[in-house]
Amino acid sequence: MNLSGNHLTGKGMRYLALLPNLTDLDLSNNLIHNFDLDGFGDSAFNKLERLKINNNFINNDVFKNFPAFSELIALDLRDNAMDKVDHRDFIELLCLSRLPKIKNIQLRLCRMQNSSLSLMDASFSALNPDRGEDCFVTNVSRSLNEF
Amino acid sequence: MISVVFFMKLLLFFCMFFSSESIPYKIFLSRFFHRNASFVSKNRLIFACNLKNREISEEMFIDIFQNTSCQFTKKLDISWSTISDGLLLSLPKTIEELSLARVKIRFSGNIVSIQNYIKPLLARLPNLRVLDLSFHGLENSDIDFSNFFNRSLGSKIEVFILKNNHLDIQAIANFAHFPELRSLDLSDNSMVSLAEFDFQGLLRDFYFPKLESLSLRNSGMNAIVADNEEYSAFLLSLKKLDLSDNGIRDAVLGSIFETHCSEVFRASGFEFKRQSPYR
Repeated sequence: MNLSGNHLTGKGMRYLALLPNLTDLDLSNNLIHNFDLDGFGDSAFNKLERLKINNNFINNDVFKNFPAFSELIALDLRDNAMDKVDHRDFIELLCLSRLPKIKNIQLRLCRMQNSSLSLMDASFSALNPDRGEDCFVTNVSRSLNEF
Repeated sequence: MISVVFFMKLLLFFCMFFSSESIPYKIFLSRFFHRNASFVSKNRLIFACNLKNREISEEMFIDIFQNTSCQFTKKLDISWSTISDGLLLSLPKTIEELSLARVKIRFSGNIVSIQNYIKPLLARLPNLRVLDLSFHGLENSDIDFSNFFNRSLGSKIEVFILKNNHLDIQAIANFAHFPELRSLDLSDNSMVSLAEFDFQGLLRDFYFPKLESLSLRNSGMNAIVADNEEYSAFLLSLKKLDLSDNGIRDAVLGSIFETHCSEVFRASGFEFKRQSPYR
C-alpha cells in the first residue's frame, strides 16, 4: 500500500495494523514522528516485509521503542529527524526479536555541525541470528562507531 | 551523447538485420528509421512496436503494418504521436496491448478528441488486454460502456490506465463492464471522495471479481468515509492500493480501515484476533 505524500502523523499506523496481509507499506513524505501501535502487541503487521518511512519526523528515540515486525526485510528510515544512533539500541533492533529477518536498513542522518547541515549515508545489512549466524553489519559507508 | 544514441541504434539495426534468430521479440522504430520498416526480414514476426512521439503517416503505417511482419504485432505504443482517424481504426486486430496516452487524432486536417474512437477501437481490437488512455481529458460519459458490452460480449481488458483525465468517483461503475480487470489506474483524476459513491447496490464479486491493483494517487481523496461492508470489502480485497499524494490524515485512515474491518475479515474466513484499541 502506498500512502506516500499524505498528512499522516503516526496515529494512523494502528489502523493499517488491521490489515492482515499487508506486505509492502510506503509511508514516506508524511508527518510521522512515532509509531503508535499500543494495544496491538507484537502481532501487528505480522506479514509486513518492506516499510518505507523515509522523509518524516522520526527522532533519535525510534530504536528504543521500535515495534516488532517479525517478517520485515527492508526498512527505509532516511531523511528523518535523527541525528545520532545509539549503538546498543541499534544492534538490539537488528539482531534481537524486534526485527528478526531484517536484511537492509537505509539511514541518512542529519547532524548539525558548525551550524550547517551535513548528511551521512549508511546502509546496513544483518544476517539472521536464528540460523546461527553472527549479527554484524556489512556494506557500511561509515562505521557504527562513528555514531 | 547523441552520437552514442545513434551508435546504439545502428548496432540494433545490424543485430536485427544479420541475426540468425528467426523471431525477434521486439523492435523499436526510432526516428532514424521511421522512413520505413522494410529492413525487417520477411520471416520474422514482430510482437512489439514502439512508435512514440511521432507523426504517423499513411506511408509509414502501410510500411509497418502491411508490408512487414509487424502486422502480427501484439504490443503497440503510439503515445504522444499523431495519427489519422482512418489509420487508428485500421490497427491490426492482433494487438493485445495498446498505449494511446496523449495521442493526437487527425481528422480532415484538424486534431480531434479521442472520445468518439474508444468504442470503435474496442470493437476493432477484440484481443485487447492492456489499454492506456491517459492524458485525454476524458469524462465519465466518455467511458460509459453500458450500451456497448453485454454479458456475452464482455471486454477482455485486464489493465486499464486512465491517468490524468477528468473522471470522478462515479466512473468506477463503468468498469463493471470489464470482468477481467486486474489493474486500474485512476491517478491524477478528480475522485474527491469515495463516500459519494453508493456501493450498497454493488456485489463486488460480480463487478470487480479480479481487481488486484487500484491507483488513486493524487485524486483529492481526503475525505473518505467507509460506511458499509461492501465498500470495505472492495478496498481490502485489493493486493495493491495506491493512495499517495492525497492529503489523507490519520482519522481518514481510521474511517477506511477500521469501521468494518473485523466483519470483512470474518466473512472472508480470516481469523481476526486483534481488536481495535478504539473499540
